[in-house]
Amino acid sequence: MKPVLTPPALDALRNSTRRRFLKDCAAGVGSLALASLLDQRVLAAAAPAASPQPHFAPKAKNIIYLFQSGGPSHLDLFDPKPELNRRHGQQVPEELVKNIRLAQIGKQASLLGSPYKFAQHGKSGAWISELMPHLAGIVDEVCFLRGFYSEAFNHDPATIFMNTGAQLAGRPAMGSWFSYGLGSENKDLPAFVVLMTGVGQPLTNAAWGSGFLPTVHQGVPLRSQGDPVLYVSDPAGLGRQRRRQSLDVLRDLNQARHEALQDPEIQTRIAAYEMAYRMQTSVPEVMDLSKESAATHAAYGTSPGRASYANNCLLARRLVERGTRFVQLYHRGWDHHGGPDGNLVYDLKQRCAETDQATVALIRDLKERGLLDETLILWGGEFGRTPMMQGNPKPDQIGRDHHPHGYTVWMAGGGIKPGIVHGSTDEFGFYATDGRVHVHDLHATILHLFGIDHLRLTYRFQGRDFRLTDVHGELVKPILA
Amino acid sequence: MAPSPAPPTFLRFALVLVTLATLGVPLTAPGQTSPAPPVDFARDVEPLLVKRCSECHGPDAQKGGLRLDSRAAALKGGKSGSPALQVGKSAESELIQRLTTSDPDELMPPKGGPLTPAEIDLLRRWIDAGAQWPEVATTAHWAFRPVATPAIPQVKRTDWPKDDLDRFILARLEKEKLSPQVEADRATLLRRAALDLTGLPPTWSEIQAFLADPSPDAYAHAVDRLLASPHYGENMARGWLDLARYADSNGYQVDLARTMWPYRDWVIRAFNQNMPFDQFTIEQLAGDLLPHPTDDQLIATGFNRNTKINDEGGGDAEEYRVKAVKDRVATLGTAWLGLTLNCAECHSHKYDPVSQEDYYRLYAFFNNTADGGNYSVEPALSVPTPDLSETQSHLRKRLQDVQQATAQLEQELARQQRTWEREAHRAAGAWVPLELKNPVSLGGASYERQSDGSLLATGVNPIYDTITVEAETDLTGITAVQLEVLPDPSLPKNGPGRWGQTGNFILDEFSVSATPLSPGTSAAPAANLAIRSAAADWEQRYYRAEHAVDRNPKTGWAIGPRFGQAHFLIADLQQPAGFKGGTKLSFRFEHYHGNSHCVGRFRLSVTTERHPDRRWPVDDALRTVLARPPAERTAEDLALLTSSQHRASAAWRALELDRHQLEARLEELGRKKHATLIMRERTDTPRVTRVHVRGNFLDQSKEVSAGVPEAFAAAATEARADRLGLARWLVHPAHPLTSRVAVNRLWEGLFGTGIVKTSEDFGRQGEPPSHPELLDYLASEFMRSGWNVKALQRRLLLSATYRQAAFATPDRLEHDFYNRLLSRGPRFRMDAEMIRDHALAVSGLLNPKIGGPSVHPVQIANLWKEIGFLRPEIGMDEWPVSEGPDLYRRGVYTFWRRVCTYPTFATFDAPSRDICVARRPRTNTPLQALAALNDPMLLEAARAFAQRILAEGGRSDADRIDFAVRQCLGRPPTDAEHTRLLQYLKLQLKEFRSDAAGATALIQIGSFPTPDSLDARRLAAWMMLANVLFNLDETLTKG
Repeated sequence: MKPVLTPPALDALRNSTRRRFLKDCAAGVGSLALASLLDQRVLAAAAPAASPQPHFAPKAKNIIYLFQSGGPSHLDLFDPKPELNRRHGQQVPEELVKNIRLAQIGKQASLLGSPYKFAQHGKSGAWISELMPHLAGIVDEVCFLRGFYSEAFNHDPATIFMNTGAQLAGRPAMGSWFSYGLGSENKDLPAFVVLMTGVGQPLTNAAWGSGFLPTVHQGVPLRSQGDPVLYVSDPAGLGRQRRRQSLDVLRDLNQARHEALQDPEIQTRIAAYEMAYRMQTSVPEVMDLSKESAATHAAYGTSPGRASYANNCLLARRLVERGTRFVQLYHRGWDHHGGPDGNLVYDLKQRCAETDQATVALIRDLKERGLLDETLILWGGEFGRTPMMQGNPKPDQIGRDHHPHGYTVWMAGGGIKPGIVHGSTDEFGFYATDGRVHVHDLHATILHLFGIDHLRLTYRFQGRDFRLTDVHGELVKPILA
Repeated sequence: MAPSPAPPTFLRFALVLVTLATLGVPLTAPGQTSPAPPVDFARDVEPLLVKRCSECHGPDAQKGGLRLDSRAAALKGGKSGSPALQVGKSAESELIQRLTTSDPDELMPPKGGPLTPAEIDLLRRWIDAGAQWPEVATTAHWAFRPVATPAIPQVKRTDWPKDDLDRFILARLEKEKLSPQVEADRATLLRRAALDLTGLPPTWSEIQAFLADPSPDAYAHAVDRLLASPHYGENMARGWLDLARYADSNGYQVDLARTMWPYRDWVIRAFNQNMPFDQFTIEQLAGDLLPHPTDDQLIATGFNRNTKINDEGGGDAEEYRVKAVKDRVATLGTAWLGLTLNCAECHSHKYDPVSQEDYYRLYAFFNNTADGGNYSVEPALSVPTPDLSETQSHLRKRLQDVQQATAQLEQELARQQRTWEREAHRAAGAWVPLELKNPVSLGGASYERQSDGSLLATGVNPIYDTITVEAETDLTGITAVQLEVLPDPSLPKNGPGRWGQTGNFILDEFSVSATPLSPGTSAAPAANLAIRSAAADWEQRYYRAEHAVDRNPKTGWAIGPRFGQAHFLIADLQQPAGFKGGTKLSFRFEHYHGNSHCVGRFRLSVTTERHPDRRWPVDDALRTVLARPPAERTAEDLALLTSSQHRASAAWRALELDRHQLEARLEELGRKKHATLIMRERTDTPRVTRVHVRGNFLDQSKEVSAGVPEAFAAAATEARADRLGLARWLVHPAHPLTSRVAVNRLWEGLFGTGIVKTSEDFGRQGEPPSHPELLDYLASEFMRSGWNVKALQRRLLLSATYRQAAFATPDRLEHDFYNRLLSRGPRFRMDAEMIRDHALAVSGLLNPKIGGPSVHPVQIANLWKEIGFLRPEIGMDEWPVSEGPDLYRRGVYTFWRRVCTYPTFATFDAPSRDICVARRPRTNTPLQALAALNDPMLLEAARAFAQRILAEGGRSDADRIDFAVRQCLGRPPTDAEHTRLLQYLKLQLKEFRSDAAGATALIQIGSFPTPDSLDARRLAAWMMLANVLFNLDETLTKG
């Protein structure tokens, strides 16, 4: 083919094409997609003029973030406090609460010991309460951050903080930063996928929005009912063959337009449409759990077609298997203030029963498939719960208020040191004391595991180089494998 | 100027390399290294110093007595006494030593890890080259200098410019040895101008009239007509509403609806009336402070009430009020000043002359208003009821149709009454009541058995609940299950549910499982019986019987507003159930909506009746009447018979539901009062404003009074220290920013990129202008014209620059890839709303009505429920799809909910409107392709367009294709295009010829009527063609 572009123009075109391609099609378009479509004369010259490298070798490739929305109680699950149990019913010591704001309860609240039995498990001897028997069986895979803390004490800002590093809506979610920084490894699926189950606090797109990053990096919620991705299904009566025919004519006409106008944007559009066509097959395929073995279903407790946390755990494995970079599960209903609305007796048990088995099955499954080393699992809520009881409910309806000053999140796989407990809270489980890890530190550490220096992954917006970690964040070295 | 590269993409860049390498695409070696380019202080060094040093050695803190924010301070050094810089001697400079030392206690910076070798090398080279540190006051930054009146440049090609502004463009092109592109053909030009000014494509007849107009002023006249179009304001409003963060909901988690559309309409009117930009500014920021403000001027102040309002319990009202005030400062910065004022919330701005104190002085202007932080829509202004006659007459017409259909159906039913009576008589007794046992409420409710076999809930009234109950039966071949919900005086408002306010319930999931009773049969675990479908005697809008059996916990069955009465739901089983030797049935009721929306009294029964029509229950009263000889029936008996027969008809129930909803909607429209949020000063003691330490409102320090930043005080001749003074300062002729920012945005709207690309940031971290003199020229002309927006746009549209064709050439791609030099005409994808509007206009569906309350065009069902808004008492649990003409309004009228932006708009880069946004990104993604191909609205438009093509497009398929392309693209097809489209059409006609079912299914989409005379297969084929046309790059693009 006779080149029609001069070499410098070619440079510009291939640069732009590559950039547009990376910028816009990262959510599910790999470079392969474009490679097959682009004019060979462009591609052949698509060699980079310089070859910047990732900051350092990554440990993890994918992340599954099991977000337990509402604020699970660290004091009833991971962080036993004999002193709290001993002083059950006494008023909270004044020095603990004098400098803080509380969401709902007053500062005269009484201490609430945990009604649950704890035991040590595994070689690491991590303490787990009786509510999570499955997790107890794999503590040697897990790294518990018991000195974790946040700043926000209301659901919305706290959830957004955990996900974006800022309390107000408008910053990119962690998954968007990953999509922006690392792209996708699957040409047919989005890089950042969000799955939701449970009933409770509303979850808004601020938690998975791309903020000021291009919208291509926003989390794509896969819906358990209806179209998994909006508009991925063709309308009734259209049919795959006719869709293919319409894409063929679109491509031909767009191609002709490109010949006339030479606008590289047209090539990007052709690639985007072809990618959309492939997603129409790949998305329903990944959502279809019916082909999984009976043993797998038994292990996870899944049942195809149902909207459940367990189904989403299995779906998460299928997604990372196919190269989705960042899978985020939200399970609602961990907001246990007490009373009939949500308490530590009925509701907490229910949430554990809904999630414990499937969470653990996911980790085991990943391990058996050799994927755990490259997949980071993160489990946690937007805050923990107070050592104090909220209100004066009946004994079988006790509850605790929101508590960001010290709680537990845990991680596994993906370059994290397994079988350790890092950090601790004070004798009441109130403040993180040792091994304190802040939200920004967690973000910095996660980025590190993916070969990214959190100080250097930036995006210029409104005159500022923004980072996921804002202007904070320290790498938590002791928990790295 | 050099086109600026995209933001750092090195990581993804690396990824692609790997992928390309694995593809076998030849990779050349990394480019030959050229000598390191000279270090530029502003570009390379200052950002580094600011980012890594200034927190401790800057205006806000000086650790070790050292400042690194001026050359003098750096040369002076800190307490150690040695200067940080030794000019020309990097090795001896303390700065470099401290950055490279191996002593970890000495190494700088202490946080965030050491500088990279490349960064240190930059600093070294800078020091060795003389440590150039332009000692400029920040006020010397180009954007902070007064707007100049530059000389018009000399150009060689004097025949090209049509306006003096063209000379600025041409002079630069000539300098770069480029020439302008030829003028676009006239049809292209008209389409471009129409899309730019009205957001709508020109009709083909408008194009023809324009092409036929021989007058040399034809184009100018066309532009004048477009500027005078009432749709101009709608189009202009879009960008301003992004800046104003206009939305129809409060934001934050609960995100209740608010009335703000009168403000949106004010913006549209202001643009249509060509309100001067200075007045536009003053009325929005301070309309309430004008002498004797009109209602319109008060509505305009809604600009600053577009801040979010918290509706969540437990929030600190002052915290949210403070957030709103800060948002107003940030918005002022972005919308008028092009400054990132929010940087100075926590510390003095690191680049621009805005100290933290300046920030809180600006904050003070907005700190004394009457609005609050939580649940606060006050102050609000009542506005006249909008003209909804079109909606109302559509609803009345629909109601009439429904009434007519009901009457017809009732006549038909009357004819079948005898048959029905016989069937009903046989059906009586079809249902066998179950004796209910072991009721368990996970939420702790208790149950009392009633004499009629029902269970009544007592005691604890759980917020959410799952109830299980069992029964045994000897029946086999059970075909359906009936759940009766019954009123009871002990329930709130008589029940049948337990929600205190109405007696409603929401049954999210209803399921039943069966296990054999006899020990001999296989002890398979109880499996849920598959339910084929569900029906009920009454269904609340959005809460249908089928929702109780759809396995989606977010949807359920409810019975509002028919509270306090008995209702029933019948679930038909997929397979007959029941084991020989007896069966234990376990029923499960799941309630997730909260607020105690649980069933309060219920009874269950089963039937083995195989004929679905004979399953409609016959109660005792009806059974008695049926048994009575016809001659003995009273008028009441007859009325009962008729009403029972009606209710047993699914068609009649569907009509009843329609009728009910239409009546309710009409009633609501007639009743609704509208009050829009406005701004008012507080009347009681003024609030004191203090600096918030590190931005924390709980930690306040020095008191400040309202005032403008020192650096821009030249324009502050206004004595008033209130919002009116602030607004007048903005539009003072000596203000360096407002006019530049405003004209830049107008330029950006037409050319895709502003003269300053970072239209939100004119500060020192923004990108410098591509044509600085042109920017000043336009800004000064704008002010000289009395801030006349239309006049400026007219000049821009009539310029030679704008009129260029958009064709790129190798030369242009080489030297002006991003078209920042304007070596060709502008070409870029349309905004989200325009894509919708374009399809509506071309298809003929568009409802051109201007203004009024926001509408709810078709959207995927249940989206709101999915994000967790489950409580109907909040009133925003389901997108209330509009009716008739309201479905086809322009995008600017679509209800804007912040937590759930209209999905197709969000996909095409529309912001959530949580905060002020100056420019939308313009991406090009697969999700956009899916939306453009399959969004039901765009599919309906494709069908309507197909109908239009078939009705108006001529006599042959070839003619029709010609017509279709002309309507959609504003130009005839090329021969090649025509051939390809005709070939495609023939293929589709062939495809559907043998697939009538597919065709019929496809054309069902949307509620726009299809003439009965149209052949479904033919329409489907043309609909496919229309869908293709709507997805062409050219259609989606303005250019």
